[in-house]
Amino acid sequence: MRIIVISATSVLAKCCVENWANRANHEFVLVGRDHSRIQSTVSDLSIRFPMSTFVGEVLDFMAPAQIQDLLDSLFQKRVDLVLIAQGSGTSQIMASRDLGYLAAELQLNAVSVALFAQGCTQKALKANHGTIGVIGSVAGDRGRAYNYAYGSSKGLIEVFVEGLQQRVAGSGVSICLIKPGPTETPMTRGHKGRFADPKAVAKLISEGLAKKSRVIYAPRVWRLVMLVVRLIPFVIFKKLKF
Amino acid sequence: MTVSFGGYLSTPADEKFPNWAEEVPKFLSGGSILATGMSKSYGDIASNAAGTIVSSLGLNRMISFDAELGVLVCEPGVLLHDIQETFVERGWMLPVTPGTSWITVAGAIANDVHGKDHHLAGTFGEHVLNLTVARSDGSLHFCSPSKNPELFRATIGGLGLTGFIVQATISLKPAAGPFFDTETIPFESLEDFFKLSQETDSQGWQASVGWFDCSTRKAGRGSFTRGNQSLDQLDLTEKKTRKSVNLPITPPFSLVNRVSLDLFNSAYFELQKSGAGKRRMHYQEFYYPLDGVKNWNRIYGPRGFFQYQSVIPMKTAQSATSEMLKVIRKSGQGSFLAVLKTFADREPAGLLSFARHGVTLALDFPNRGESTLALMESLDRIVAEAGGALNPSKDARMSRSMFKAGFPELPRFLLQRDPAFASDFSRRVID
Ligand SMILES: Cc1cc2nc3c(=O)[nH]c(=O)nc-3n(C[C@H](O)[C@H](O)[C@H](O)COP(=O)(O)OP(=O)(O)OC[C@H]3O[C@@H](n4cnc5c(N)ncnc54)[C@H](O)[C@@H]3O)c2cc1C
Ligand SMILES: NC(=O)c1ccc[n+]([C@@H]2O[C@H](COP(=O)([O-])OP(=O)(O)OC[C@H]3O[C@@H](n4cnc5c(N)ncnc54)[C@H](OP(=O)(O)O)[C@@H]3O)[C@@H](O)[C@H]2O)c1
Repeated sequence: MRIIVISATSVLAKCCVENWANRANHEFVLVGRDHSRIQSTVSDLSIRFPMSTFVGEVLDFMAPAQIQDLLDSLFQKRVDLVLIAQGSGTSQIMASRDLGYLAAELQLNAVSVALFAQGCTQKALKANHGTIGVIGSVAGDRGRAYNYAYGSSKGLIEVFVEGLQQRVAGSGVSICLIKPGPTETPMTRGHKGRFADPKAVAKLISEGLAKKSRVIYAPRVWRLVMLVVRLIPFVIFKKLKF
Repeated sequence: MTVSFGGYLSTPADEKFPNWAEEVPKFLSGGSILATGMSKSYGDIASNAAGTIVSSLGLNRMISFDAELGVLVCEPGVLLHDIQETFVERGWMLPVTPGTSWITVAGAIANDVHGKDHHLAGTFGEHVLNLTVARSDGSLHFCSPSKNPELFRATIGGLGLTGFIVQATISLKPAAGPFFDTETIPFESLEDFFKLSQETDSQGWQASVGWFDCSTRKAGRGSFTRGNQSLDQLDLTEKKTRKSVNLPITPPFSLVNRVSLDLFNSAYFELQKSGAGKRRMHYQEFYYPLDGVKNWNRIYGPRGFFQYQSVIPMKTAQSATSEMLKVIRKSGQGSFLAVLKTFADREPAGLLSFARHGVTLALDFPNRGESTLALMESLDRIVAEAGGALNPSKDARMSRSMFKAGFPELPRFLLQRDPAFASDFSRRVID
């Protein structure tokens, strides 16, 4: 397959790449914001998986024109799978005090992801082929005082992807919303709590994408947990501390 | 809080997780700093109470590989497990590996670890071609046997005290494939072990290790395993992925008591004996028998355990070892695992390297408080008298004088130490 990974330096995304490359040889395009980081990711994966090929691409994730140009060039060849993974673990405390910070975080977690998702869907529809996985989060299922600056971006992605899913229904394109629970990556390091193993999460993601699932919860229990959380009436929800 | 492999607890003031090498220098300023890897050291060498811990685990990238020469350049947090898996079917393996593959390259360097093949390959440090070390003053030092050789020799086996290794170049050894032809031989006495060991080295076997029963009255029985890389590696397809058994939680009390220990040791011995003879083994089984049981250290319960690893010069090895086994048997605190290996006469790679010409004995003791400490003190006396040393990577209790006596190059090492780097071990034994 030819696989494009947006934000390939993310630990979750890299675990997905390793999962795919472990099982078969593929052609990967690894996209990031920083030249040397993408280069070292390409080198590492090329050594570990000599039978697959890896090339790097670098751009400004907030610049619509650059995103368009990159997708124009990448989709000149057949694309089978895209994973869109960028995200930042927004500090709610900082976001509550500093609007500049809040704006930049929303820009990355919501706007940039929506731009890539839209751009890729357009291209895939033209070819009538491809699967696009977009990483949201269980945090997008409900607005909580503790993390709504982050959660609301993931909520935007959820509605955005649902719209795209309706748009591509019946075509050769499928779009998948990926909702990881707390996972052990740089985003959560130093935080307290229990975290899933990113390799296990990546395995569920790649299985879900292969099946063209509409929504992937990883680990799976989150589907049930979030169902319950969504059902809690607000009068009770507002009193909860979690 | 950090927990070492042996169950040693320590609370650092802060933990940092750089993801990229260029982020490392900013984490090394101020306070007392210590780099850590997989925390598979048994005692307090990778702990830094009230200081800052800077983890190597986010720095786990391979940077380049020369497929002609087998030379790998990598970041410090790359796991030995990944190196073996990545290269074995391309004809390369680590030239030296300890009994677990779940450790980092930097951890293997900082403790200059040894394997079952010291007579042929020496220690891990002998295969390090160069290092880049970040120091607390913001400087980066490239070092090798010819460039900054003192820093190089101090960093190998340097217990993490000379700075943060940000990059390492190591050479792998050619390997025909993942399989070993092995032979397991039971022995009934210590003399038999020494004879077998000598014979094995002179016959040119690549790797060997002896397991020892010290729970029963049958003094000195054990089993000896040696192996060579298989020359025909036909069954590559039967690639072995071992299912590992996990001990998911720490039981509230130690599962190791006198009865279970006797049972274990007898059962293990019988098993080894019945499995005696020649057998083909996958390298994972041969090199890393304990990796098959994840978190096995938890059977010791929340009080954890001590490992006691000594090395004793050849001249006095046999008498001192049998003396130690006698003391252990008398104490009734038989060791769950007792491992005997010989180290050949080679120039140590690092100033503080543990491996040196002699016989090394590694023992695990469940932590029973005072009586266990007293037992180890009586072992100390035997080791000290025989001119031996204890392994810092396994230790949580040796005395300053024991350390000084065992590591005579300490003053030379201290000239290379980074003044901001410290560990619970360094405060206890060196500072
Ligand atoms: C089951 C088992 C079997 C073992 N068998 C053997 C054996 O056969 N032979 C043997 O020699 N050892 C053996 N060991 C010990 C083990 O190999 C060492 O303790 C090793 O150093 C652990 O590596 P780590 O990655 O866990 O490092 P840690 O334990 O986290 O740290 C070890 C040292 O490395 C330093 N360090 C870590 N990262 C860096 C860095 N980036 N820069 C500078 N210093 C750094 C730390 O400061 C510390 O001093 C065994 C351990 C276990 C658990
Ligand atoms: N970890 C969790 O618990 C968890 C749970 C649910 C969802 N998620 C989601 O999973 C995805 C992957 O995250 P991760 O956990 O793997 O964390 P990660 O390793 O920290 O990855 C974050 C990624 O976002 C990129 N990024 C951050 N800021 C950027 C910016 N301003 N411009 C462009 N790229 C930027 C990073 O690029 P650089 O490497 O260049 O910095 C990196 O590739 C994210 O969307 C995250 O929200 C994670």
